[in-house]
Amino acid sequence: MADRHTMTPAADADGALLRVRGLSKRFDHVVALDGVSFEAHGNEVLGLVGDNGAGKSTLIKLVSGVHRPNAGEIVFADREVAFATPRDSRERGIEVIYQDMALVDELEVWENVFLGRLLRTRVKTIDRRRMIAEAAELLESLGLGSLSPTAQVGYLSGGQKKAVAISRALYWDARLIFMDEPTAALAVVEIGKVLELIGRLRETGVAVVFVSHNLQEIFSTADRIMVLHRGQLAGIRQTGETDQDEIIKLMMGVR
Amino acid sequence: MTRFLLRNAVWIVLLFTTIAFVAVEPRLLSVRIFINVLEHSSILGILVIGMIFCLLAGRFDLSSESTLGFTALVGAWMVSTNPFFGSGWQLPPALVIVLMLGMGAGVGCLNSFFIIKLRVNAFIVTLAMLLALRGFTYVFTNANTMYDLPPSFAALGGYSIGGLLPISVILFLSLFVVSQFVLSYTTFGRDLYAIGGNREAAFAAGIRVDRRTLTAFVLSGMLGALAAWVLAGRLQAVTINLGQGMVFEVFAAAVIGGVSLAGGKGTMMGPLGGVLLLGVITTGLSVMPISSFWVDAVRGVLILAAVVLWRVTEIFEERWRTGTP
Repeated sequence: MADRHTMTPAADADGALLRVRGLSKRFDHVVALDGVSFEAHGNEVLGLVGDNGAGKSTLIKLVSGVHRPNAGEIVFADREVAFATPRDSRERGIEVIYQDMALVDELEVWENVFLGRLLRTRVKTIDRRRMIAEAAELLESLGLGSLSPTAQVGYLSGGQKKAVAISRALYWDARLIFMDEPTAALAVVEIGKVLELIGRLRETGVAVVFVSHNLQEIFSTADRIMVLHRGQLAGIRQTGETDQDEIIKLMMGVR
Repeated sequence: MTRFLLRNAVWIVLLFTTIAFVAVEPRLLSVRIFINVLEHSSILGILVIGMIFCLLAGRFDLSSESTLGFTALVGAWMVSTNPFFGSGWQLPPALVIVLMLGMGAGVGCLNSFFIIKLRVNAFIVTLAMLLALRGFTYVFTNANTMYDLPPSFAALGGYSIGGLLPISVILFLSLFVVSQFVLSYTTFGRDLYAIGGNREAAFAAGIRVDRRTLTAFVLSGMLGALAAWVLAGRLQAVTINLGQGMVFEVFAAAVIGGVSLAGGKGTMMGPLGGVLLLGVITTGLSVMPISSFWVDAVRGVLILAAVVLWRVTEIFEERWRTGTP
């Protein structure tokens, strides 16, 4: 079992928690990602934008170990890593909140929160009671106390499902959290909650990579904005030194 | 209350089916016949457990009846004291049992190699395995029956405590209890539900999907070999067609018991009811004054009715949960 509460975000000399160099991925003959380099820092929200097919999801899947890159290096917390599976990346403190949410509809909320990392008792059976209690506490702390930890996920609303997915990433005190469209298909109130949460995560020292189609959200939340265009890095800008027009031009490949 | 009844519909159907048979033929109401049904259900039950592990992970194992046939035969060949049909080796029963379980595990490994590593559809792989193993069984024996099994080898399937309660019944019922525990309280069991429910999500969450799937198939193969040992002991001989055609009943029992063919949904206890229901139907029909030609037809219709009933209860439960009328 991972030791929650003991992991603190570490960073190298210039503060980069994640350094990616020349990351490339081909699927058959389609180049999904082509030599992308960037850094992500603790205490920072990095906005990631790009048109459909720009390579945002591929980038996340490469760093989290869902796919293996064809070329490039990933350095996480000062160590070069080559995650074979998401299990490896989760063990090092990288969590992903997927766009399609990656929940199991048949299972209850608590079990989705602890998916892949079920807590166990001393005799190695699963500790159902403790997980239900911890899930309830976690949901409460996210202002979602009305959501029962024993509700079946298949019957939840889109916003509630998103909350479950976010809870899973948060429980383990991750050092780097990728959020792939966490506000998509949410009601306005719920979007506000998610953005507020991202801000709180930054305060705790976590590095957040926040993917969204909504530039307003990106500009109000991100410290830096990274733009992908057709698998290539179109540019990285400080939020304060750019505007929506420039970002849109980068997204469209206009120089 | 309604929900409890819906969830346990298979036991209610079992109760009413039993009452119906007893009403028509009162002599069926006896401890001996009751135990007889349990004993005859033990083989099916053991195979069903293996199938459920695979089904929950969103896969199939059609091959377990052939694993049963093949391991029973090879085991009997190695252990038989008959110089004409056996190998003449007369290996110690304990060793033969280990070898049989090993062969079962081997079949499971082979199945999962094709399914996981080469990504061939589980249906095709295990169907091919079903045919291939059955074929090897014929080739291996020239269609001879193996006799003269040592008593210690045959004890598991043949011995009854006090001449009344067969060990095989205790074995099969405790296997159901143990495997229900595995599903409810171990990470392996819970992971199977996650994998069958949403394989991508399970993988993304860090579950070792391939390893869990391999384990499910290995368990299914080993349970096939265990069933072979029980059945060989009960019959005191091994014929080449042992277990043939059981895959149909294995599926039926699982589905009647509420296990989803799509994966991720079901228990062990429901299918136990399914196994017993099939046992009661088979036994009941066999003493009814009807032509034996009717038995399969009636059995098929009853199974269909049970499955439809189960599906209806499921639809009701969904409506009940979502609050739609």
